[in-house]
Amino acid sequence: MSLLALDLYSILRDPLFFRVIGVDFGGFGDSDGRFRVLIHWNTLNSFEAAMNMQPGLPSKASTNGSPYIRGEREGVLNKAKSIKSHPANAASNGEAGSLKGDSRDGLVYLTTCKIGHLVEVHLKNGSVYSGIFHAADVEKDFGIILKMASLIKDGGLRGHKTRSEFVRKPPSKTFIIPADELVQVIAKDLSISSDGMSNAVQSEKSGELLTDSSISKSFHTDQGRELKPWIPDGDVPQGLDNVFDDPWKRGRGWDQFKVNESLFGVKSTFDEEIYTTKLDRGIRTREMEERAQRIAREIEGENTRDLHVAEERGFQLNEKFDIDEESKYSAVLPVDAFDDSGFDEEDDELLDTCNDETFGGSSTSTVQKPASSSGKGYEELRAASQPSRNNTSVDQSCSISDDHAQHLPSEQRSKDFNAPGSSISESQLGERRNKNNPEFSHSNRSAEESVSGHGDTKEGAKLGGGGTSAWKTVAEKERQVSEVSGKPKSESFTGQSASRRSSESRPGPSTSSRPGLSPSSSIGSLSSSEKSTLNPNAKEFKLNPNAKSFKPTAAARPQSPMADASFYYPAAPAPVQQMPGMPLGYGIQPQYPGQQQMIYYPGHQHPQAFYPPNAQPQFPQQQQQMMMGRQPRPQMVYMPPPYQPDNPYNQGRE
Amino acid sequence: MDPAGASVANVIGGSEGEKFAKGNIYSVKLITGDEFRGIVMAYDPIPNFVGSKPRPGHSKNTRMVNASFITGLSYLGKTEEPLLRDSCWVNLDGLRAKEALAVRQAEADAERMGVGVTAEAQSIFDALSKTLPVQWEKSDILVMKEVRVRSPYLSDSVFGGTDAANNRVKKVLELERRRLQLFGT
Repeated sequence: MSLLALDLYSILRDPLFFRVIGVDFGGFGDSDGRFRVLIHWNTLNSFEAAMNMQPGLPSKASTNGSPYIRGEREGVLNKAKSIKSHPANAASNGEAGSLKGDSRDGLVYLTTCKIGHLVEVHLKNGSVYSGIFHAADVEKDFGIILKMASLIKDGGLRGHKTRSEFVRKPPSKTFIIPADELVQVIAKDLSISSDGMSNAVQSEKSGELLTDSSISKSFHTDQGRELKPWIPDGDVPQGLDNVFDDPWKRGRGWDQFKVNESLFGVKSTFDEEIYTTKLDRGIRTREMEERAQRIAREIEGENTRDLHVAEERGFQLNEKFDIDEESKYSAVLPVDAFDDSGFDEEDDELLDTCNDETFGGSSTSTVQKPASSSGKGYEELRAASQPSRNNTSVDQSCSISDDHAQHLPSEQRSKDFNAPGSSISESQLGERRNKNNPEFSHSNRSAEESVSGHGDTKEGAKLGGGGTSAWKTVAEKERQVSEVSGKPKSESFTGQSASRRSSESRPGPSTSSRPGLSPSSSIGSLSSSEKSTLNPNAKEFKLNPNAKSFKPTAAARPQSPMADASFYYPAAPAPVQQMPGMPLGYGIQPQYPGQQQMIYYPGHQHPQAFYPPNAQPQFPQQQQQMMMGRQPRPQMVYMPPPYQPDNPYNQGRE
Repeated sequence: MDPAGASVANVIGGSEGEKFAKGNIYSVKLITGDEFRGIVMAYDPIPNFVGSKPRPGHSKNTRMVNASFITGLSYLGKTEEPLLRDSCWVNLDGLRAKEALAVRQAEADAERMGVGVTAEAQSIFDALSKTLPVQWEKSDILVMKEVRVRSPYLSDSVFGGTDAANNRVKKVLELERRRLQLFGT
């Protein structure tokens, strides 16, 4: 045994394979057997066991630490390698008899490396077979077995044929070649040198996915692979080299449809106009074109403080601002920062005003609205709030507002122009509020604070946004309902503000039920930029702290539905049920008897049904509705103050 | 020890200067007419096989040659032996996987080979398969499962399929034939 170990060691270590080893292998018959069984994997274990008995030898061939896969059966050579690491002294003197094993070993190793490789086998008769090397009879005479072998060149009696006459045969699944016919076996591109692992790896690469770990297992992944530059084999259509260089110029040079048709006869049915709008090149196109250009220039030339729009336009952000990607693109806004994304200050102002005036707090819609985008623009808010509304009434209102939304952007933009920056808007807002009513400004501020204090991280603008849409719908409702005032049909918040005005004026006429709403003076201030969208007839909303809280009931009630006491209700769970669905459903004519529980209040049960305004004048009702709706809103939770269910006003609302 | 041009001979393993010593470089001529040069990597006289590796710089074609069939042998020199370096080990599992993969691929390729068809037919098949889904059906090429190209695989041997498909196959066939003629067999 010890001799065996030595022999192996010496064999593998000794570069001169044929150096005589002074060991007579004759006495160790099994040594040969072990060598021979290199291919016969079954017996490897026994070999391993034998090896393990060597004194001083590692029981496991793990000393080399090579990361190759250790299957249950390991190549003899693996073990041998570990043995090699032991500096055992090999008696290199051997007799010829030992050569048998030594020399065989080398061949065995080579043969093993060929396993799985595509080889060419030349036979005595000149035939050449190509197949996957499967096995070789190492014991005897090196007959080999190929898998999926196919005849490449027939050296048989038929002699050599030209290719065109050569009839192919299906490859043989298993092809055995006896040694006496075997002239040579050629394995192309087989990297023998250091490890068989690279062979395996390369073959894996060719066909299958390689995981990183399997790649890294091999020491030398692509060692010595000859790289050849790719030469087109002549099938490549010419003129493709620079197809992508200049898309405009070269684009003319390559028409894929033409080429396809000529090569394959495929007629293209591509019609560009399906995918785009055909330009009207008529008489007045030049005019229209110029106009379009002008507008485009205007839009693009606008100053914008919106980071994203500026970026799209290629405007380089000032480097000195400490703005990293997170602050640029994150959807989460800091609590105390104002939205400076070009949010329309009108929205701000309206929202805040609305909020403060009516319920001194967050608008209902805000609560509902998920903490979505910062109020980019009015449309955005509206859009954002829409999904959050699951109340049909709201939806309707939203949809209505949508219809008119187109006008909004223009308005917004102009407003943006006037007062870029939310800070300005804020101040303007404040101004306006002040103009309107000193109380309101105060309430505005407190509203804002309360808003933020309530943990609503969105700025007041956002809140306003939500509310704005509500307002807007209300406004639209107003417009729809009452052509009377000839209010400008601006669907923008200005309309809302108008409605707000009317709501504002409600407290005034609260006692008087439905007086004609006169255009409030405050309208002027608010509408300074809103122009004609306000309802000139709307009365200014004056907060009436003594107004009774609104309770929607079937009976009409003349008295004011104002909430009692303060407008700022902390989350009041009790009165929730009283809440008329007004806030959102203000301007909504359609009746939702069963939909009084506004989405704002989950689980809110509304005992009373909302009665659509029957014979009452729509307009005042609208305003009243609005007012009513606004009042009971607490700041944050948007819960109404305790309403009297029998509020006639309420009935008139819907 | 330099049986230049020696005829086929069995070599006895000797202790020194033996034939096919590892590291020897030979130019070998085989009975099949094949000639090559290589460095001896291993040799076993019993089966009389020589494993040789081409000289560095050439393509890596490892050969196992039955020395019995060597007709001509000329000793060219000697290089250092460690062609089989000390770290020779094989990963059997990897080899098995490699073989399995190769077999799979070969089977897939076999599908594409026509049985009993001429090489020309096969090359037409290959050309068609570049852009169209084709499969063999006996000796007919079935394109897109509906258009059939029979021997002798000319434009008028295209049958079946819709008009559009038929025309398309015809066109492709013509072009491929033209190309094949251009490039020879």
